[in-house]
Amino acid sequence: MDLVIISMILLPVYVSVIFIPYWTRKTESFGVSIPERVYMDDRLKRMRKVYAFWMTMVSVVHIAVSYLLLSMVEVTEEAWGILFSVLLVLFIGISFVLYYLIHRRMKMLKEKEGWMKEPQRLATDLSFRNRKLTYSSWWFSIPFLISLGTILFTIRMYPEMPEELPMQYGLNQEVTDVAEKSYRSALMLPMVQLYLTGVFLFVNKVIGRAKQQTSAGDPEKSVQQQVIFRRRWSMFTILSSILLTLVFIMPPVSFVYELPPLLLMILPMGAAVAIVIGAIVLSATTGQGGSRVSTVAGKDAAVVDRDDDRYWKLGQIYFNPDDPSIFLEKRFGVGWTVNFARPLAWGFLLGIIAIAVLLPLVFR
Amino acid sequence: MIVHIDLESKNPIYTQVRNQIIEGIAVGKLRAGERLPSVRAMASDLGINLHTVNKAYKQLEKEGFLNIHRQRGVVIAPEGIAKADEAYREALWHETRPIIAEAVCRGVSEAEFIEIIRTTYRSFKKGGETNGFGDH
Repeated sequence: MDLVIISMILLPVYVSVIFIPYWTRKTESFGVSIPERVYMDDRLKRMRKVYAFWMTMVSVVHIAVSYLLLSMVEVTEEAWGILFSVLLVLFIGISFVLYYLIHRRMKMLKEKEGWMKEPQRLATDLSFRNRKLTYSSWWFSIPFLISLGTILFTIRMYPEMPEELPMQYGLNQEVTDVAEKSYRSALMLPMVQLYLTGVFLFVNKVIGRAKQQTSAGDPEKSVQQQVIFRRRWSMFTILSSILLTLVFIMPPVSFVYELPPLLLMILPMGAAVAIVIGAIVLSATTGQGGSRVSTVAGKDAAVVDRDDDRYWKLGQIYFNPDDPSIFLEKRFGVGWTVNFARPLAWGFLLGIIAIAVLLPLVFR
Repeated sequence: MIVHIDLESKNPIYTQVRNQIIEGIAVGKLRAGERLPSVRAMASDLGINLHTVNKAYKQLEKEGFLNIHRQRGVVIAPEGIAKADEAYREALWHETRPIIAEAVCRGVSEAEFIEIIRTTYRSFKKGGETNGFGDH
């Protein structure tokens, strides 16, 4: 296992964990809501630095351990996958513990300083949903047509395909799993394409419909930021869906025509790297809710948003039965989460997972 | 148009929503036929109960400021707001009475009171600030 490949997978994970506190909204610090003006308080700045520093240390140790373990111990491809996942879960676990320790300190500091005692206001732009928040869902007809093309190709060329179809490739370009040839196994990957198209289309809808979170301190600026934030992620979703479905054309083609194995390896990797780097660049330049988009300078606000700390369990899990929203912005991170007090939110989450689990079982 | 809700106000939230929508129409920020968010969207955006928004919308519909269509959603009355009739004029006399009475008790002069009304009327004509808290 190559250090280059390990780094390619892990570095984006590290970067997206280390920099979270710098990408959140400025009305939030480690899962605690704050008035925007204290975001630049020295003690808060230090918390962000401490978190970033220790997460960097943890990352260095994690990649060293991963590399050593995986290069020293001779294991099968399968065991390798499990070991890698365990190490990754461990990393996420440690990052959460570090977050939580600072979250508690942040809560105490807020209590001590009496922050968020200013008048609490809500603000909402009535014309928010008349604005163009996402790009048209029709863009997803491109990945849909790509998937459809792959399905038609598979059915048309089925007689030419070998008796055993490669289902999985190892990191060294060798086939690690094969399936007996059948229409079902041949259609597995095109079905994944269709599934991904559906998921991306759904994400684009969510981006359009998620709760408007306009800050009461400077609503005009906040609305502008949110519009930019949503449009950029919508564009990202469309481009990712096209790129991913394009990559999925290759395996069925390789069943029929000889393709260089290196190409089969590099193109998916390249696409994955492009998408992950795109996500990181987007997070860093836009920030959560567009918080890093510099528009006109903000007014000095005398009011603060509603303090909704009690609805954020552990500072990160939203559970508010009084809020009809299903989708809303994450607290600590970039992107969206669900209101776990809404049954429909569970339905969506479980539905997406269920299809992902069922797909390989059905098409096998 | 931005609607502000003061969570510590003595006015209930649905009244604050209703008043600001009417003010939005008065200053011309909300135009005839303009779409408003659905009950669900507005409740979600504010993080409040559906009934609260529904109550505000229902009242505005009854007063002729909005139309609520099953398909077209919520729109500002497209054919404009009905002109004041006898009943409205009577209600106006009736409803300003306690406000004037309180002002009299507190020693606000007639001239000052009329000045307040004149200033507010003019600010509406100019499309002035509508933050709904009277601090303009």
